[in-house]
Amino acid sequence: MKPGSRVVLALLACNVSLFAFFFALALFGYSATDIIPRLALRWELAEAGLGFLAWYAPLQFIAAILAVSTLKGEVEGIVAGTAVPAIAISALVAAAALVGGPLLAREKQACEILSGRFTTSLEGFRRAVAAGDFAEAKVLHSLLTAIDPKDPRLVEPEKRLSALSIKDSRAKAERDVEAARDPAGAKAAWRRANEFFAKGDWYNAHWQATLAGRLDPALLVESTRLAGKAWEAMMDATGDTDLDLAGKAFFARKLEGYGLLRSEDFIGAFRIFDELAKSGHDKDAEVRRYLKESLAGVERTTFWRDEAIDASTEASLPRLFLRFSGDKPGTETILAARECAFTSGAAYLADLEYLEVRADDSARLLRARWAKVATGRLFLISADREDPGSVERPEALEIPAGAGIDRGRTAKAPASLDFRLSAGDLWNLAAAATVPASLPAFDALTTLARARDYGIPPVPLLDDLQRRSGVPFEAFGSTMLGVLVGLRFRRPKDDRRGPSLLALPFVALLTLLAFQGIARLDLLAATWCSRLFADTRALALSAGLRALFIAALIVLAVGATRADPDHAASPTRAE
Amino acid sequence: MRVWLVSAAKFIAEFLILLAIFAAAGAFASNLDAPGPLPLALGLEREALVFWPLALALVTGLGMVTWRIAQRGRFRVLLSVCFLGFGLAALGTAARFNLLPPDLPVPPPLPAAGSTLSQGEGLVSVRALEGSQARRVAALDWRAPFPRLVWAPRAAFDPGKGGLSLGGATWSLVPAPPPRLGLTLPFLGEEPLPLPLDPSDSDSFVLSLALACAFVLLCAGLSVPSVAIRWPLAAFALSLLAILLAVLAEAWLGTEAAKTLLVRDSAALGLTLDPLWLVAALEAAVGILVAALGLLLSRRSAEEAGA
Repeated sequence: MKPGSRVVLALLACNVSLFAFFFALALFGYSATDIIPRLALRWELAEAGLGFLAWYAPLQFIAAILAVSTLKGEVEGIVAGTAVPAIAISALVAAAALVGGPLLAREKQACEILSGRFTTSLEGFRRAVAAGDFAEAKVLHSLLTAIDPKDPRLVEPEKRLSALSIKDSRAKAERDVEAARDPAGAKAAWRRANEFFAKGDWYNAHWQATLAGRLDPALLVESTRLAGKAWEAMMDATGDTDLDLAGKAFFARKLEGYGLLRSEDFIGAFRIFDELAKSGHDKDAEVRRYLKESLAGVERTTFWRDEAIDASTEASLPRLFLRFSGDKPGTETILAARECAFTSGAAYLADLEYLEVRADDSARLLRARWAKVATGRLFLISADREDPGSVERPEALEIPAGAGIDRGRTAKAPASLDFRLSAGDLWNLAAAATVPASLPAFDALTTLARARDYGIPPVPLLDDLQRRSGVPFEAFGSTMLGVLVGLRFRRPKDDRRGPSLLALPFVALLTLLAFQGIARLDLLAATWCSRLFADTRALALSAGLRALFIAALIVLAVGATRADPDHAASPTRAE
Repeated sequence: MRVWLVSAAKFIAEFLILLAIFAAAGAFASNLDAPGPLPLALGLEREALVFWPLALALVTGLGMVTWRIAQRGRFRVLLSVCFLGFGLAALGTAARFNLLPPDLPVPPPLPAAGSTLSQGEGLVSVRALEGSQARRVAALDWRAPFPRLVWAPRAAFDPGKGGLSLGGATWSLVPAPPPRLGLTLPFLGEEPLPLPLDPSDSDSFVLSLALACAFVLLCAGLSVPSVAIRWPLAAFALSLLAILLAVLAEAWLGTEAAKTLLVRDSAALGLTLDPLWLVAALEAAVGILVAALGLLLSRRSAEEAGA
């Protein structure tokens, strides 16, 4: 076999068997309590890939040594025959490590986060179902089904959830009546209804009279009468006097929705027009127009929580804390979120706390269970698409200068505010703080330059970049040094016996030991550089040190090859 | 003669390269807390004088294999390696006696201002420190129920201990020490590598030199049997193992327990010597004995291969 073919075969066999070994290890180490079955294969492949990337270099080193040290022939012939294929394979592996490493790290992290969330949500779901907390159970159920709808552990609690749903609908109807009671508001609406009626504004007179009756049952009889009169006047005015009961109900509902839309209660309006569209009135031109208008209004000020839940089942990162300066001198912003979930154009933040500090040390604190970052804005109101009445609104505290949060006064919270970071920026910063290995190299480099401006310690990201910048050195160094060491310690030309199989594991173990020592040394030098500069200069310095180190190792590895009496005396053709 | 000179030059060059690598590693490890070019330069000098016995052990032990590849005659190779090893040992001992700089004082870590400091499941962030006050402090414990952010424009700070009082809790602004990255043996835990020829062992130059030469004999002697193996790679690996054995043996013989044992046993034989002389004698004797056995073994192996 030619020297080049032997080296290529050895390196390929080593890499394939190493991946297979780590895949088998991942299969063995898989636990259904840690990773849900739906994600098992994804997790095992990511785990095997990362294991492979952590260990390929020492194994390539050993494979190259063993392949070359058993070759016979001229040194020049062996070097010429092995250098090109060894470099090609090293380049391939280095490229795979640099491109695939972040993807694998991200994949593994996603599987672990999702599985962890599934397990905790399942426990919470069971607790909520047992305690009869339908709202909590419903939220957790949507999260669970978004992650894995087929998990058998969901079947039993789902049956109990259906029963709970019926019970909750009844209780909710009673609660709605109670919650809507507002005698003062009813009186005001009743006064406005009469004023509109006197002016001949039948639409608004009908709307205000209906509202008054809903807010205070004591006014129900009178308000129904006035609403009826306004209705008839309206019918007379439009000429539609022959509407049946269903038609009248539809028209009244449409009117109510229109009123909400004009008063900019987009969620309320959307709820009504959506309900009308779903109940067979989707062809009505006004329903379609107002549904579109109210939806546009909702999307301008609000977002749907199911978007956040869906996003969190795809890509999410835990624990975001940012601190950055504001546009005006002395101002700054602190942002803390328990979790961030991402889609291509938006980021969703759970349990958001957003503190805007002014130059005089006074501040405004906004809190929201859910928030969305998109199109340069931070949206703080969220609603349930299936139940648009269920709206989560932010709360705001105005904190006077020199005081802490405990002395803050409740203030009016905005629906949204300007936000300078895009969803992509948020992903990069959050990943830099939690899983720097999942960032692609270019994003990692750009984020490193701005991490400190956002209060993120740059060291973990820099350490990871140091590790990555060592990959080409590792890949090329391991193969080339393996070839050189193999050349230096080749079998003598006249040795007819094959290499002792008993010696092989021993040789491999000691080589591995030596390689680990070298890796440790590299880590020390890289860490020292990171501590010295904590920016991209550290990468340049450690690259220089690595080049020096590899050069020193090459000098050591080449050693006495030329003076080898067993090989140089009568060179033969390479096998 | 030309081959010998080339091999000797390579032997010395390899010693210097290994010494530079070890010294750099030691200097990086000892300067992680307060990195800088000057501490690194001083650290390099200090660590070179600490690590030379390890570089010497490697170069003498592996020299048996590498010289054997370049030159015929196992006994001649052994003599050459020992001759050069003694020379380097004498130089190293003299340098260690005359040039060892004192330990550099390590400045205490500074409190972190303007950045975020993670502490277990929580974090604290301070905009600036002004004497005993911290400005614009934010902290949160991720395990706490929502809302969890604590904020104060000013908070009491203890510059001595680096402690910060906020919202009834105390946070430490002293960054956690960096993870220890000492020179350890891979797969053998986090215990630091036992370095041979501890300079604190003896104040006598002659005794130190004798210990260093005995250590050279031990390393070279233990590596001689590896030359019997015809496959140089396996011989190289075996000599690495022999060096590891020699380093561990030297570290063990430096312990008080080993010295007491040696003194007691030598007293039973009627010898009353300084325990370090006994250590040197024992190392040299073991080295010579194993070398003699190894030479016999390799001769027999060569005869079998020839037959």
